[in-house]
Amino acid sequence: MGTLNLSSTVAVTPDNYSGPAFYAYASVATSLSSSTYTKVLFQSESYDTNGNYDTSLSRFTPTVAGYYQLNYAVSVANNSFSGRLLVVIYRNGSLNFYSASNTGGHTQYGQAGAALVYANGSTDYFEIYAYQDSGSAKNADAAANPNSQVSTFFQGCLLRAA
Amino acid sequence: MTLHKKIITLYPELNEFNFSNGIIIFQNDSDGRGDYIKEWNHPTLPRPTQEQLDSVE
Repeated sequence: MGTLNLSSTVAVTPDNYSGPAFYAYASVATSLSSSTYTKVLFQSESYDTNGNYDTSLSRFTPTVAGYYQLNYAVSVANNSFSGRLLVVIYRNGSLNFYSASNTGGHTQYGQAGAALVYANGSTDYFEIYAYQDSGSAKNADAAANPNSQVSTFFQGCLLRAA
Repeated sequence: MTLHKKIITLYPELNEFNFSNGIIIFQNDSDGRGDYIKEWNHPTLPRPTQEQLDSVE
């Protein structure tokens, strides 16, 4: 077996080293209409390294092209909830990925999901919508701060630049 | 009355499956404008007009 000798130091820096990452959460409840895809609002940020998450639109528009991991969760509590809860990633205004469950009549229910998505770094944007069919409007949970009992959130980070 | 209930009143034969799988999509962008019909892809039932929706109480 041969020996490989390195004659110089090589710095290895991942190409996503400084890529965008954000964590937004619902600080005010969003009312979810029944049988309707309703945009979930995440009005507050814990961090947003590249300024790519817009709290006024609850929208992530990465400015670096590449492959992103998106995580999301929506919880509905303090309601007598019987029906389905779907949570959806909208890409450029249309449904892209979703996760769904039957709530089974519990008083609190949440749905989480994750997806690997490609973003072109300019026009592609992502939002979270939720669908429930309990028969009446339900509020998505909100949290007072990002570090305690957060059940409605939207996160993402660059995994690999294009 | 919600948009969903108006549609069910006009078309009682519709069930929840129609609203979650892309046949008929109601959307609310949480911008204060309320629920609206984003897509209507039902193969036989025509998209209701605004006049029809307004007539349902």
